[in-house]
Amino acid sequence: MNLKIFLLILLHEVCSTAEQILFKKGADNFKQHRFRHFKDFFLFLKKLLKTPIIWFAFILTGASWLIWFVVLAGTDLSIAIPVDSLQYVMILIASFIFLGERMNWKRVVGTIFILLGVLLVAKS
Amino acid sequence: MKNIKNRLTLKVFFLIIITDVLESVAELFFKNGATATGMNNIGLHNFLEFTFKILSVPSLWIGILIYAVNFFVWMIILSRIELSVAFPIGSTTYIIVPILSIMFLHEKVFLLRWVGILLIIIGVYFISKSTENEPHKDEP
Repeated sequence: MNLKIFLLILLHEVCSTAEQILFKKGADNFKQHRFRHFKDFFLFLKKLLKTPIIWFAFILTGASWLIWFVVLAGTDLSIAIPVDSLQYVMILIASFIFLGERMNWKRVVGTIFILLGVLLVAKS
Repeated sequence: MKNIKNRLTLKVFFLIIITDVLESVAELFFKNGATATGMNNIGLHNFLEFTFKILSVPSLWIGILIYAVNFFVWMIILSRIELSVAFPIGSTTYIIVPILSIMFLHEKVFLLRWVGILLIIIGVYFISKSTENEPHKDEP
C-alpha cells in the first residue's frame, strides 16, 4: 500500500463519517414516527426525501463511493478494510462532538473491542 | 422517556444485522464492478474515464439497488438509536460471514479469527450496555 491509497482511504473515511452525521441529523426528525401500517413506511420515505440535510448526505455518499472505487481498483479488500476500520473511532468522536451523544466508558471499551476484533478477523 | 427510547432493543438489533448482511452483499458487487473496468492505476488523468466505465457495469447498479434498500432500513435504525451505537454494531457482518461459512461451507476457521469474533461479541455487549439508563440530569 502506498501513500496515495492511504490518503484516499482516509479521505473516504472523513466523507463517510460526515455522511453518517448528516443522516443521523435527518433521522432525528422521525423519533416520534411510528411504523404500524404499511403506509407508515411510505410516509416515512416521502418525508425523508423532502429533508434537505439528507440530500447533502447523498452528495457525500457519492463522493465517498467514488473514492472507495478508486481504492478498490488499486488495492485488495484485505488491505482496505483494516485501514478503513479507523472509522469506528472517527464515528465515536464525531457523534460526541456534533450530535452530543453519550460517551461513557462502556461505549469506548465496546468500540475498542470491536475495532480490535474487526482487525483480527480481517487479518486472518 | 427520552432514554428509554434510545435503548438498543432486540428489534433494532435485528434491523442492524439485516443491513449488515445486505451491505456485505453490495460490497461484493462493488468490488466486482471495480474490477470489471479493467483499470487499476487510477489517478486524476483517467478519473473521468474510470467514472464513465464503472457506471456502465451492471453489478455496480445491483450494488446501488441493494444500497437504496439498505439506506431506508438504516434511516429507521437511526431514528431509534444513537449513531455511536448503531455504527459499531454494524460490524456484526464480520461475525455473520465466518459463521455462515462454517455452517454451510464447512470451512475451517483459524484461531485468530475466533479470537476476533469473540472480541466483537464482547464489544457489542458493552455497547448495548452503554445505552442503558443512567441517572440523567434532565430526568424528572
